Amino acid sequence: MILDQQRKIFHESWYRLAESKITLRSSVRVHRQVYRGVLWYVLYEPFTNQYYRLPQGAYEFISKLSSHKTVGEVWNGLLNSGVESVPSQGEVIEMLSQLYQSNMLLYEGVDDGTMLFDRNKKNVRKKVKATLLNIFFLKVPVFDPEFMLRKLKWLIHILLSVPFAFVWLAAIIIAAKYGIENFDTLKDQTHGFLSPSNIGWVYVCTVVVKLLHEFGHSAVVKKYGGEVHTVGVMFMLLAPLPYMDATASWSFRKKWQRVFVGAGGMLFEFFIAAIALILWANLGGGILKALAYNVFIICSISTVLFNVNPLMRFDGYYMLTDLLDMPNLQQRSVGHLKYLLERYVFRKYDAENVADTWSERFIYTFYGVASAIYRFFLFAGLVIAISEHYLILSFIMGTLLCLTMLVIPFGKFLKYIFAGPALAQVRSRAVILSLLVFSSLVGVLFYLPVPDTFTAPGVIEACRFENSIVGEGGVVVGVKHISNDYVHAGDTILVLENPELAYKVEEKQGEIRETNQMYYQALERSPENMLPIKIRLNVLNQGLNDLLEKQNKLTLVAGMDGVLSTGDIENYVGRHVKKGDSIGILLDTTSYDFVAVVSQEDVSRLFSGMPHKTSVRLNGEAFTEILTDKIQVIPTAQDKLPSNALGWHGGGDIETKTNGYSEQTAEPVYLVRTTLLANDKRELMKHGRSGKIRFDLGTKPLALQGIRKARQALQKYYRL
Amino acid sequence: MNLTENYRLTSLKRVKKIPTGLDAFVYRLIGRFKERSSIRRKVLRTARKIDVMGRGFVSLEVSELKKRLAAIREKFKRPVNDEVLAEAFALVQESVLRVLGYRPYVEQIAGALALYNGYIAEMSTGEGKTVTAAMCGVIRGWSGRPCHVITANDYLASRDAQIMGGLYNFCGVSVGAVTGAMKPPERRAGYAADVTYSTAKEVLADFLRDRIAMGKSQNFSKRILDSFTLQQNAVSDKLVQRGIFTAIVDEADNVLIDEAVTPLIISREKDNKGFNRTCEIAFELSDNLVRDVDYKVDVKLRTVRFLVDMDERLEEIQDDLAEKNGNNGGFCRASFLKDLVRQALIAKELFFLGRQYLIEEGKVVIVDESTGRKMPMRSWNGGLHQMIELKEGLELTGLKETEARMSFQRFFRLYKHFSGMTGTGKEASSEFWMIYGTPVLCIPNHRKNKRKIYRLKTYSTKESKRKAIMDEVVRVHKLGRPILIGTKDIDESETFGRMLSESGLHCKIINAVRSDDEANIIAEAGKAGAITVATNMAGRGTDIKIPKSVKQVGGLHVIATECNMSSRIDRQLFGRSARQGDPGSASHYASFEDEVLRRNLPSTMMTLFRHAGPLASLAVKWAQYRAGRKSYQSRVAVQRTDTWLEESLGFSGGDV
Repeated sequence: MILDQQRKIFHESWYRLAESKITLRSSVRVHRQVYRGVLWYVLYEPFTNQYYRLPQGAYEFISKLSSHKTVGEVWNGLLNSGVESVPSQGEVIEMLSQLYQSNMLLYEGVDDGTMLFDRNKKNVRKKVKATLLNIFFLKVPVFDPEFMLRKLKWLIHILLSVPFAFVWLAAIIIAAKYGIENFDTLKDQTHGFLSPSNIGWVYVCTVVVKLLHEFGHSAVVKKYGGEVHTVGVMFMLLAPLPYMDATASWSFRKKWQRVFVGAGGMLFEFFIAAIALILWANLGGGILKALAYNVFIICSISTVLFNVNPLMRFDGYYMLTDLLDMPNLQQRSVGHLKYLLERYVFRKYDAENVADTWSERFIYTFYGVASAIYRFFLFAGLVIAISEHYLILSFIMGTLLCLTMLVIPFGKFLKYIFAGPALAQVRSRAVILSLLVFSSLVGVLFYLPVPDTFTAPGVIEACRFENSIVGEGGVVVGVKHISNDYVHAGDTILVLENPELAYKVEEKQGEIRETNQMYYQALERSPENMLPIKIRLNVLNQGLNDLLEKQNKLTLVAGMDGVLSTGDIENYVGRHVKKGDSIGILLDTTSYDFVAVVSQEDVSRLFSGMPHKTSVRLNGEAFTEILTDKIQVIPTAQDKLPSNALGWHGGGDIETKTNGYSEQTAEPVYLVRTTLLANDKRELMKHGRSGKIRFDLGTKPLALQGIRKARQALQKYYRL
Repeated sequence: MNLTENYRLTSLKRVKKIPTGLDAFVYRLIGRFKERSSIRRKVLRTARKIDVMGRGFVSLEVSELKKRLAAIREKFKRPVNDEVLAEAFALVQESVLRVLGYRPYVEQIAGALALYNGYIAEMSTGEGKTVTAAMCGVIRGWSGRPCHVITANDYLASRDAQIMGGLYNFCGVSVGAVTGAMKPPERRAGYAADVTYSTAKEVLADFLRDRIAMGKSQNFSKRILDSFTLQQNAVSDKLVQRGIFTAIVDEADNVLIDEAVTPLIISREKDNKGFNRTCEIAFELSDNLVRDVDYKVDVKLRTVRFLVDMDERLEEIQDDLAEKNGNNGGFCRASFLKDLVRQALIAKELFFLGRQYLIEEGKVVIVDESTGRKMPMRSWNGGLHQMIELKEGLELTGLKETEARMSFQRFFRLYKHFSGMTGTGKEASSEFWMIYGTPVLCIPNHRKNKRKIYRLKTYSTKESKRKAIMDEVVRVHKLGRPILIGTKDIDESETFGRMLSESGLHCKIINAVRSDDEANIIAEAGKAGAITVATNMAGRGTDIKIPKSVKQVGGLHVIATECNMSSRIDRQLFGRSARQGDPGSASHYASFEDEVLRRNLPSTMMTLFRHAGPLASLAVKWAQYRAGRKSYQSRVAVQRTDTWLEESLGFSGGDV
């Protein structure tokens, strides 16, 4: 403010008021309200729909103003009375001038016509400016719904009655039951929610839901005797939606009434959502089911992201301010943060403190920081979400967002630092500190080398492993080693019995014996037959050898040294296993490899230079770092993952799609193989265990890393 | 009072809001455009044409000339076209020749034209600004609407009105002067004339007093309505002015910029026992507080900060105090007491006898710190004045209650026709344009300037600087040249006076304390061998004429002993020498102990520059720049408060 910050008992400009007879207009209504145990008075001018809040001392003064006494007389009278707090002349001037600006004063004398027009022009301009700055929530009033609401009084009466409250509760409970039962289905369908084919319906549903939501607010306002005079269109995130003006609730005396007005919209919305969910669960299909689904999702998203959330200035915020008895929480939080900055950073000792108690200080600080962060991320998230489907729209929104959330606040900050009157006394400190912070920030971002790393998912594989495959089917008769046993090459693992094979051997042996007999007979009787018999004997021997070999295979022998990894083979005795069955894997545990899947964007960085250091952290063992040997990039793109656990269907991070039978990655990927070092952590290493590999590519300033990421994102999402 | 006069009484120009932000940038560009050099060429061309036309009137009889003047005078009751205007200027030029005995130069006509067209005319010192203003004044006076010629001080106002009286009479224009010592009837007579010479302070004060007298009937339509009912003309007897219409400001930079930092306040002393008693209580309370334990003094910001919770302490005792003081206890409230205790501490810790105030006849007299001048009739507000009186053990004066207040910036913007003249306007041209909406027009000199300005000499201490100055005085004095030594404050001028007489030189001193024979001393200062010590402001507007013998030895030598807050004021001082084509020279000095450096440069910079050798003069430039910015900011603050008050208290009655 331009007037001196200090209280001034006497003010230079008092003479302008002292002789005037000023009083509140007769149309101004006064409401008493208690905030945090302190009494306040809210002045309300119904003609212009403006509010002004006064503390008790100030109200005491205002209430004594009349058209028979001059301001000076009233002030002197108050001074000599026993009243505790008397506003100083400076405060009276400020107060009256604000009431004048809100058109709440009745005064004698001729008003300057030009000035009235000027003031109106200024107000209009201010409104336009505020609208432009708040372009994501642009409001255009359309008509006065009061007469309609009066006609609907009977409906409001029903809807806000106790019996209907039970209906409401019942609907919510039933819907909750359906919701829990069908949670997975509900979740799965969200993917297509914003797709172009559905967006039209989403919008139609949103308008209907919002209309009913706003009707909810109005209904509660009407219930407590307030009036609603504006309904209009709000361009929320550029989408036109209905809104209505429930400011009449500000004058409600009871806190709970105000909270109820704030909650009214959501209560209606919950009811609609409940009905929609019940419909959705019970309908077989068709357009109605889709619509019910849309309605339900809109209600839940808008409730969670906007309405119930006090970090945005929607219903939840107003409810919170009423519950906490802290009107203007947002402005005061900003004011408090500014105070902290001025007082403790710029060391302006007479900075204006907005918070009185520790709890207020805490709430303001917390709220101020949280809401700023939340807002930023909400908008950024929305832009990104929309950009996946609507490139140009997201571009426009992104630009506007940048303007309203970065450029303008930054400009304002610059003005505040370099030219704001609040910092006049500490300007040089403020400027130097800001420049210092800013330049060091830039310095850190652009010059401080930060480890340039990226991670990629992958799995552990033993560097050598062998499937123990049954060579010949048979019935298990003996198990020599069980899972996790260390076996040497040649050790028997399983002993099988195959009676059929034994018979065949016997048969073959019989045939050989028979043929031998025949051979000896031919030697005696007909030597000319000896040669064919000899050949047959050879064939038979051959067959016998084959069979014996097969019989040998009935004993499953370890092909290499390693740990046997199988299921519960000790219970296999008596069971028949088929030829070609795998009973487990023999792992060479002397060393393990890690096979990582690297995306296209990142792999070029590996091609361009070897990482300084690579290490692996396994899932579930995030605090244990396992160093690795040199990496080996397999220089061909693949669409198969080394393990299904890495893809979307296996719960991994890599986008995959099922193509008929096999699972494929959505984009080509590259495999990187490396040997894990660090023998002491052997117990963690399990074949097939998934983890993340971290490539350390040396150091690079953060800003440069960010720029590269942003460029890649642009290229990827916008195809620029 | 007829209807027209009644209307003119309060008809003012609507004050436009000063643009800010991007608007200000655009507005500044418009200002640049309005100051383009083709305008100057055009004005000079017209002036030459007028000059040629004027030569045609040389042969006219006096009676014939007067007839022509009377005829053209009638035309000025209505708006006139360019030809009539040119003829009017030509006639006035001829009248100047007849009355004053010399013919105004083309440049002076150009200056008068610029004034007529609402420019700030930049004319070097000694170019005959008084005549220029009078020529424009005559033509403005013909319209019969009030024309105010604003001069720098009372002396100049009465002197100019007197010198130019002949010219005005010749042209059929009545002239008056209003000075500080005048009583209301004399003032009324002064303002009743077509053209009134006065100072900014007087005009504004009379304007405000008239407004107070008018009270509720400041609005024309309300006055008309009232005249149908009862209260007729009761007010008009008390008024002195006829309203405001045209202003021609001489020394515009001084009046509009240097002096416009503080608004003019009309106040009335009101007895307030309760308040005085509370002041005493607060003063006693402040005695119990210990510096750096209970409070801290911030010398730079000139304020006191409490280190303990004063509210709590005072709340404990407020009821007791209020009870004890019965009827007078109205101010014994913690919040008010806290303020008063703070004022008491400020009075004790930050205000010193001899620096910020003097005591004369048992009264506190405020001294303007920047100019060193006494400001009687002024008082501090918010209880500070009472606290100082308590501190000095004087009788408490009553509370000064403001009755009216207006800044000069705002006042001059109320004139429908506003123009000015200055010797040094270019530096401040953007401010003239931004605040007053008047572009600056440079009028070339009639004769070539022969002034020689020596390089700035800087010394590290005041003492060494004074010695160097004395050496220079002795050296120049030996040549027989007259010397004018300009000092910044009274003390310094006295010091130089003493030093000069110690070294056996005779000198004359002019300052606020010895201002009796100011004009004469200044007039004599041009004589051979004269040494005059004067504060900067002394003898403004008076020509220092130099005899022929002096011209031959090099004319007047001006020594500026200290750099001022603004280089403009330095230049004004230099302008004392080498007037109207005479020879002359000026030299200036600065030391690192000077106020302008001490106040405006950070101490680290001071030590840095002190050893910077030839760069030291840069330090002075920089300090002046910073001082300029600071005072500009305070003027802007005045301006802002004005706007805010107007916007927020528009309901309190009155247009201004």
